[in-house]
Parts: sequence; structure tokens; C-alpha cells
Amino acid sequence: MSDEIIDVITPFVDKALKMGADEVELYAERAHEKSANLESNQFKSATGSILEGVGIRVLINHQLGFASVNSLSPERIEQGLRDAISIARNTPSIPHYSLPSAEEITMISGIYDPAMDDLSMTDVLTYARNLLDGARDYDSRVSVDSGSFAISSISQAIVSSTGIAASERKTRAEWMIFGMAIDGDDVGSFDYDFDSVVAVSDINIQKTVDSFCQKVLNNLGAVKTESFEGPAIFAPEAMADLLGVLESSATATQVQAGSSHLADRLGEEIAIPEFTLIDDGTIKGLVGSGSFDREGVPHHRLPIIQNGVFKGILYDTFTANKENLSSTGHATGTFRTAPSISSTNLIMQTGATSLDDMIAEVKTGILIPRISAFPDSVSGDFTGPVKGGKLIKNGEVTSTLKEITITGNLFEGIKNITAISKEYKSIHYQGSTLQVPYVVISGMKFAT
Amino acid sequence: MRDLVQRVIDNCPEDAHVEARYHQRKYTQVRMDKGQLKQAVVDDFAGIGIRVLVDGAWGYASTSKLDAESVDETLSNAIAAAKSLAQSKKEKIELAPIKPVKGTFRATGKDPFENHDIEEIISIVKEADKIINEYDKRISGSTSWIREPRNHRIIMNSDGTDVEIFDSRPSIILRAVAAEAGKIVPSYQAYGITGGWEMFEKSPPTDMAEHVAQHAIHLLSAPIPKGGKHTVVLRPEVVGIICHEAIGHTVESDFVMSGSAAAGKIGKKVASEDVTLVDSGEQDHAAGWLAVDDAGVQAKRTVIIEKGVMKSYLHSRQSARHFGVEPTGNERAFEYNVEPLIRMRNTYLEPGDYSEEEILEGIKFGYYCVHPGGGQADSNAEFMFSMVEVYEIINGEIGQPVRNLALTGNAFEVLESVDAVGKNWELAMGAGHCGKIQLAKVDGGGGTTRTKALVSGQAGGA
Repeated sequence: MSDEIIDVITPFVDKALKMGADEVELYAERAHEKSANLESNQFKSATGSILEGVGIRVLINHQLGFASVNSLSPERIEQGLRDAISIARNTPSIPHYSLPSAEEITMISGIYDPAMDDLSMTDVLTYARNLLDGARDYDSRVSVDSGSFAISSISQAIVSSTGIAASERKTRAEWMIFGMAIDGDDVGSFDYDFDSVVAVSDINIQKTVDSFCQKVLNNLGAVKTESFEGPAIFAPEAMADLLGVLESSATATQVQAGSSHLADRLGEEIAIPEFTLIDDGTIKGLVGSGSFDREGVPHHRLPIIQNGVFKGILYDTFTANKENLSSTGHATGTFRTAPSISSTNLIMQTGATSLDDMIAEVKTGILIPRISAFPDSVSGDFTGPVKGGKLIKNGEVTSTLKEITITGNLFEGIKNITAISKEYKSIHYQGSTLQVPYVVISGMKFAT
Repeated sequence: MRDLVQRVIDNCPEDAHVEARYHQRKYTQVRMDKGQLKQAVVDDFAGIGIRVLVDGAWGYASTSKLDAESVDETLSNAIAAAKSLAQSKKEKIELAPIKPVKGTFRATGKDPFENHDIEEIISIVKEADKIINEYDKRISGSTSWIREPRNHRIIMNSDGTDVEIFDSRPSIILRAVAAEAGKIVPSYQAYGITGGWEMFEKSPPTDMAEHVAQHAIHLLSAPIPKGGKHTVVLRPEVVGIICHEAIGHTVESDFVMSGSAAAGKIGKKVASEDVTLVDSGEQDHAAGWLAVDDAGVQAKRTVIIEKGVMKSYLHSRQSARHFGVEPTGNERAFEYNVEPLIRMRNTYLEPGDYSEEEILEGIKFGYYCVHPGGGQADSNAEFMFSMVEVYEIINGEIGQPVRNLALTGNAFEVLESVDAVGKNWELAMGAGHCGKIQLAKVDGGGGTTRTKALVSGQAGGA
């Protein structure tokens, strides 16, 4: 099927050059999706859709234009091409901007499962039924506000005037459940869980149900406590949100825009020696993996932080050209967006301590499953209420807390990590994976 | 295009309810990073979405192929999806009746964006970006965006609604980053409306640029706040966030039916008498403008809380039937390929009688909250929103800025603590989106409001 979409876009390379473009890239996608949606403890709807389209990037005298159309019809693609050319004629010239040249692409396996294409709407509804009934049967206090189970089969193709011509197919099943536990007048904090896999044989609804129900039931019976300053044990989900700040700060976009804490710090020790963070888009079987990035450059394994030292910046072709470097294969985006930069599969290395030992070491602190916060990707500051936080007293987990806020800074925090767990969680969602352990950071400010 | 949408209505089996919606969302974005153009893009996303209710179950399908054959096939797919679901669904969905709506509605402003080319947008972004970068040598970086989504909808349903809607919802977002001695801090300014080029007169980008650069510099030496319960004075855009996050989400009836903290509160006192809270699609200059929702229901002015007493939730036809009330016109879909959900529009506090001087008077210590960042609601009514621009109040006077502050608390307790609402009413949070499963443009505001809330920050700072 991808060959089919590559055939649709290929003729437009020559057409664009004839229309006056110096360079052109066309990136096409076609996704078949089936989904079942849950709302207020019942099924809401079943949906079937085909989403397809082309993103077109052109350069004229190093002036950039981008347009997208949600169609593979030759008329719409040509209209998009005209729009992109018209934009390029009206934008200022960007020195260093050129499209990547073709590199040899090694096709990676384990990202497409033909069995996913064979699933029917009835199969999709059955998985969604298991998600809903699983949660309702787990404990009568669990209420499912919303949820979904969806499968998609995606074809991607890219062609350019610089010789790139590549295509591949991917499959994905994704599910999500969101809700809370209610016990009489006690309405607990909401929580959610989700997962995403490539292969039908890896779909495990029960694991998500168990994790979701444990989280929401944990949030019942929450009590208030006093303000204090002390250690926090960040659960993998909470730590994953904070790692997003490190990822943004390590993108060449943010570094070159003068908006990164990590600018000019390559080679510097920025975290404790046990802290290692690697991005790798080539791992078999993960939803964040692929043979090439959004501009046709192969993905690479990239250590971002190695033993506490800042080692790697994520580049696309434009930002790499600016510094006479090569792209690291981190261009990302759909056909609807011009390429930007982000990670693929982020792996934080595990440590030597068990979670039980971590808890035993804490005199007064909080185990944090989730923070309702918007960590600032420039300063690394974060603040907000702790959700489902468990108070730890003298090495024992006691009550669940409510109305307590945490304040900290990630860049300070990674210098003050006192333990990293052996246990980890793989978090898969919306085309990326994060593998994250539990992490203890000292000196967090908790206010009530 | 009208013919294709009408075709869906005509071809739908009589025993089914159908809604057909053509939606083109053409989106232009220009982004500049530290003096260099980063993006100039146009995304043209158009198609027809079809929702059918068959045997008490919803089916949804959509197509970007705009011809009779594809539309017929999409209707068949929606019906097939609904029938599959009906077999495994225990409860049958029913809808509250509506009066059909007809007509053309337009909110593209006094000077529509279509009168201006991308070069003009780029020059505004460039000028703002330049002002930020030249403001002070401690400014290390900047990012400036202008975004303009332009929507064209044709909505019909089997009840006879037949409307065509045009709107444009531009926004400008500026970020300045200041750095000194290993410390790096950003500040943001954002403004958005429903309308046209007049946005730049209402909130001149050059003024915004200067303000954001100045604030970033001030933040270099700003302390983090004293954590604890404090008196807070909220400017209109922060009032908008509190209306949206703290109350609005808990009264969306899908959330109520799941058991949110607002369940069972109709007719009960939930806030101080100073609080009258409204969600409305009426204001055609505000980013949450809505004439007719995506299910074909007229968007009404909905009084959620009147003088402290809860009066209404926000409804779809399905939830209105469940609660035995009239639909409020709150079902919205972001693009053609997704089904409508219950969403807010412009959510605000009605104005009070106080001047801002009167509101600040007598406050020994508190926080003056000017510009919010993101926010989040919770099922237990514990809300949060982060603050981008906030100052200390000392003895009734506005003092130094602080950084990294979030406001939180139980929404109903915070509303019960409201003891003054200003007469300076405006809707002022139109730059962002609400992100409940899909995006939606919303707005909110009110008059400057005084209350008490939990402020994050230093332990033991109260």
C-alpha cells in the first residue's frame, strides 16, 4: 500500500521543479483507523475513518514554503504545491536551509503486524468491552468517565528532489481509560492509564485495567497534611513528564533559539553520574520506532545524557546544517506539519535500588504518582498539586494526600537524585515510548 | 458542497437519526525564532463527518473525498459501525428534541484575514520578535507565533437544521527568554479573538513584545512564592481560567454522569452570592463564539451558577434527555474527522460593582495574578492553574513579581471565598485551546475577582 502512495506523489517532484521550486519534498500518509469510544460508564460510539494527505515543503532561493492537503487526489496535491510555492516566494531567505540528501536506509522490522489489518469492528468493540467491564468489575467504586480502543494501519512515503524515495507500513493498537473512584461523598482524584503496541499478540487490556483501577482506588480517602521540605519518590509517570523538559532543552531548535538551559553545556556534567538518558528510534517492536524520520533520514541511537554528562543534541537537517553537522534523524511530524524535532523512544537507565528499599530510606517524604503541572521547558521550573501522593513516614507508606503542592526545578533536581530504582515502566503513547524508573529527588518544597 | 451534505440527510434510512457536517479548517501559522523565520505553513483540512444514531447506538465515519460515491460509502460505514455497537451495547441512547436552526452565520471580523497575505503576517511577527531581542542584552532568545485557523462549516441533521458558518480565530503568542549567570527564564504573552486583523489594534504586538521582554528580565531576580493559603486578586483572564478549569469542566454533563464533584448540586448553594457564572456562545468577538453547535443545536446562554446557586450543567442532546432538560448547544467537534463532545464556549463571571482599587484595598499580603499559563480540572473539584505573570500585593499595593506559581484548591471552597468582583468585565483568554480529548477554541473572563486559594511555593510560607 505504501508503494501505492509513493507512486501518487513521485510525479510531483518534477512538476514542482518545473513550477520554479529549487528543492521540493513530499511526505504522504494514509491511515485506516477503527475505534470504539467510552463515555460515562458506557459505550459512546464506534468510528471508522481513513485519514490521508500530503505535506509539501519547497525552497526557492532558500526561501521556505510549506502547505498540506488532506487528500491524495492529484488536483488537491497540485493546489497544495501551488500554495507552498506561493508562500516560499513571500518569505525571507533562510541561509543554511536545504533538504537532506539521500542516505542509505536500513529497514527495521517489528513495526508492522498484518494481523492488525485483519481485526474487524466487532474485534475492536470486544477489546473496548473488556476495558470497560474489566474496570467496572474490578471494584464497584470505579467510574469510567471516558476511554477508547483504536487500531490503525499506517502507510508513510517520502520523496524529494534530493533523491530521497522511501516508504514503510506501520500498525498500532492504542487504548486509554480515564476516570475516578467514588465512595459515597468521597470523589477521588481522576487518573488514567493507556498503552500502545504494534502487534495484536501484545494487546494486554487487563494490565491497563489493573493499573488504572489501583491508581483511582488509591486516590480515595485523601487527607491534608502540613507543609514541609523533603524528598520525593517520583513514580515513572510523574518522572516521564519531567523528562519532557530535558528532551525539549536538548533539541537543536531550542538551543539555537537561545531558549535552552543546556545551550553551551555539551560535555558538562549536569546530573549525578548514575543518570543516563538515551534516545533510540531503531528498537524493534516499539511504537516510536521507524526506519526513517519525517524528512527521510534514518533514525540513530543518540545518548543525550551519559553518566551525568550532557552528550547529545537532537538535530534535524536544517539545524544541523547551521552548525555544519549531520542530522541525528530526529525530524518529526505528520503530513499536516512542517518537520520539527523530537525524541522517538526515550530510555532512562535503571539504577541499583529496589522500590521497597527506596521507601524504607525515606524519613518524611511523598511518593508521587502524578503531578498536575506544566513543567517549563526553558527554566525547568515545575509546580502544581500532587495527585494521589502517598505520605511516607519513617520508611512506611501511610495515607493518600490531597491539596498539597510541590515546587522544584528539574535541572537542580537531576543533581540532587539520591536513588534510581531497578524497577521501571515502559510508557507507550501516541507514537512514542518512554522507559522510566522510580527516582528519588531530595529538597522538594511541599506547601499546603 | 451543500448538495453533498444534503445527500447524506436524504439517503439516511428513516429509522436513523443523522448529522452531516462539512468542515474545512484552513490554518496558517508563522513562527519566528530569534530573528529567523522557522515556519510559514498553510494546512488545508477539509471533509465531511457523518454521525448516525441507529438502534440506540452512535456510529461515526468521515471522508476527505468529496464526491457522491465516497459520501454514500461513508454513510454506510457510519451505519455499519452503529449497528455493530448496538449489538454489544446494553443501554440505548435517546436524544432530547430540538428546534431546527436555519441560516448563515459569520464571524470573520471587521477586517478579515483573507484580505491580508502571508507577507503581512510575517512582517508583524518579525517586528515583535525584533523588539524582544533588542530590549536588553540579557534577552537570550525569543519565539513569536501568529496562528489563524479559518473555519467553514455546513451542518445539517435529520431534525431539519441547515446552517452555514464562517469564522476566523486568530491568535498571537510571544515568548521572551532572559538569561544571566547560569539562570534562564521565559515569559509569555498571548492574545486571541474570533475576528480579523483588528486583533492587532485591540492588543498591539509591539506593546506585547515590550511587555514580555521586560517581564522576562524582571523574572531573573524574582523569588518563588510563599506557599500556603493566601488572598489572591485575579485579573479577567485568570478569572476566565478559574471559571473554565475549576467549575466549567465539573459541570460538563458527561463528567457529571460519571460522578464528578458537581453531581447532585443543581439547586444547591455552591458559591458566594457575588458569583454568577455563565457559559455562552453569544460574544462574536471572543474565541469561544458559537452560533450553532456541531450537532445542529442553537448555542444558548447557559447560566451555570446564579448568585451562588447552581442552576445548570452543560449538555448534549443525549445528556439533556438523561436529565430531562433542554440541550444547551455545547457539542463541538474540532475538525471534520472527529465526533462532537460536550465542550465549553465563553465561560465567565458576570461583572460586579467594585473598582480594582477597592478590591486591592486592605490586603496586607497576597498575590495579584495577571496572566495564566495552563490549567487542569479534577473530578474532586481540586483545580490547578499555573501563572505566567504574578506579583505580590503588600498593604494594598502591587509589589515585586514572583515566578513558578500555581494556584490550586477546591473549586467550590474558592468560589465560596469570593468577596469582591470588579466592574471591569472582559473576555481575555482566547489565545489557547481547551484539550479535552480533542482541541477546542474557548474563551473566558469576568471582572477582577478577589478570593482565597492555595498558592504553591516555599514550604511554610503562609
